[in-house]
Amino acid sequence: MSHLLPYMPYALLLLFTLALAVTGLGVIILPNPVHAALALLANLVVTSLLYLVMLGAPFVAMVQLIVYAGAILVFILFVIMLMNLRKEEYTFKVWPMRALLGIGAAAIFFFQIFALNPNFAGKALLGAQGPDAKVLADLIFSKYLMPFELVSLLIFAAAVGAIALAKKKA
Amino acid sequence: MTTVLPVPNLAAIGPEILVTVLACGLLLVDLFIPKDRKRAVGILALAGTVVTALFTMRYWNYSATTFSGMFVVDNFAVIFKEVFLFATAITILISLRYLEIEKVSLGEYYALMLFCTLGMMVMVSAADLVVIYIGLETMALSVYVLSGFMRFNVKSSEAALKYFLVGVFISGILLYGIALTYGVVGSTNLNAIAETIKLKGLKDNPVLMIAMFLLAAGFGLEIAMAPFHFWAPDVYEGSPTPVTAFISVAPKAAAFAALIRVFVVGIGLMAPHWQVLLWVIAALTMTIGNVTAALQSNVKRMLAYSSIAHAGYMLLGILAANTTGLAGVAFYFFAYAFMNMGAFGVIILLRREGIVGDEVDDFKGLAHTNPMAALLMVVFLLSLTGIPPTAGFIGKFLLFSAAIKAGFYWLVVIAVLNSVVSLFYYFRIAQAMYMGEAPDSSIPRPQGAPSLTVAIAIVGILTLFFGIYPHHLVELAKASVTTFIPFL
Repeated sequence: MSHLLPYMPYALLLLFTLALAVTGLGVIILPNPVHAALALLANLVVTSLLYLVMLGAPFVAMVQLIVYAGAILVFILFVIMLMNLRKEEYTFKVWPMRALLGIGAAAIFFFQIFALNPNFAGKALLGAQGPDAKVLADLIFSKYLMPFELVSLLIFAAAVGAIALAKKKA
Repeated sequence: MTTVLPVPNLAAIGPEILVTVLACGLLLVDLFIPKDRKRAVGILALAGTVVTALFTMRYWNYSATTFSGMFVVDNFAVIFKEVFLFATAITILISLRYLEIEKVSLGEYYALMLFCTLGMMVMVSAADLVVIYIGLETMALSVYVLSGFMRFNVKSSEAALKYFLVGVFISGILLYGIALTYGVVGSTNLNAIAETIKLKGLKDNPVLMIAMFLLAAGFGLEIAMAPFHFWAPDVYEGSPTPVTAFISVAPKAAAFAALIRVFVVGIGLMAPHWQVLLWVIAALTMTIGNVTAALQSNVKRMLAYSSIAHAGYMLLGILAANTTGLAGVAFYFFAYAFMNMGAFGVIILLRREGIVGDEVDDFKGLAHTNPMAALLMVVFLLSLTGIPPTAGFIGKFLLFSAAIKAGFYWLVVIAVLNSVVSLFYYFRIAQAMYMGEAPDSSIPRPQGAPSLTVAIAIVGILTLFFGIYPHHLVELAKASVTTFIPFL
């Protein structure tokens, strides 16, 4: 068994990317909007697992879960419920233009990965240790103290503005 | 191991703390004030702004760098903070009655205005691209809401939505510029960027050139410089008029100050490149602004295009990249705050129950119905055109002479020709006031609220005063740009 151990990260990566691809396809293919949103949830959870296991970044993984799976997805579900969307009339038509654009986008991504990062071949996968919460906390409360505090004011101002705009006629 | 937290120099951010406390305090006080007395919140905000402005004056010649080099207090920052606080105070004065006429007198209005001021104050003091961005976002988010504050008015909502959509789009572009800069240089600190460019000889780096374009575009939106000016006329027309007066001066000044700091301090070694870029932009901005303004019949739209044109003149100051030019920009913003807010104040004076009063025709016969307002409007128009003895003339004189000193003769020729075009449309208003038939006496005469009258009188007097005795303010403006001398 032990001789298989070095291949573990690759197996895991394969598993995660497959899960990402399947759930990602689910988001765009499933006709029921609620099902699509749930596929997105699965996709976000897998991404966070990817951060946790492959990049060794537990804090980023947690934030990914709380922010995206927790907050943003709830918003999306809210909108789906408010708009009372029905099942999508789905026709499987591949538009040559769209296909071309899709291939172009994929080509750009591959170019970025391989041409701009020649050392890509799996080097970062083994035993990666990403930034943990302590490193981030040290940075936020020392070097980046000012932007950190300012962001809270920014969000506060945005909340005040949203409430002011939503007020009823006097 | 315990990390020792560095203690930042809190005294350096005194004015910012004061504004934050004031804004939050206003929200609290607002809860205890009955709906029909919201004017009290405004008066409190005004008092607080004046106190902050006086307090900020104590920071003249106080120089400090704190928050790990992200926040700088120098004379340049102080003089721009005074511009913002002055603009805020005048805006509050001209808003008090207007909001009641429009039936949107809410305490949040004043709090948001102060949050906006806070964002701008951070922006001019920031020495780091991240902090500049956050300041810009704080400012912009507040302004989006303010421009849509008459939320039952379709035009106002349209203005807010347009501003918001263009704003978030350009935020993305600005962030892209910041990311590319970070990617090449490895830092977002302006001094570190300058240092790395110098050491590694990156001043012709193609990626950095793209970043320069993107940064100029990002700030260019708030400045409303061509080709990012399309939002300005609709937003200026739809927003509540005091907000229009405010956004035509203060956010523009903040974006200009940030642009100066980034271009002169951060990528000053790339000056030959950005001078070409700004040359084209300045010529385009002036010409598009003035020519289109001449075609408008709505005064708010006309002043919107004129403010685009003024941004073009001010770009001359950055382009020249000498002390006179940068001091000229600082001086011009004072002059511009006086004259432009005055002109918008007169438009607000024409707003009565049932009359919107922002068409050129609404100015007809103002010389008979309210001679004092008409006379002050002429002063503002003279100043906007750049005719002595007004502050606008001195401002233009400084900017144009700086550009000549730097050798941009053709651009100055274009600028002067543009000033001639501007004379044409500004004086259509004067013509309507003095030669137009007064409307019949059944329409109520334009009579400003006391606060509005005070505001117009103050800016009118200042426009004339600094036109006749500019010396002191010019000296202050020159002293404010000494920080940049090593980079010029």
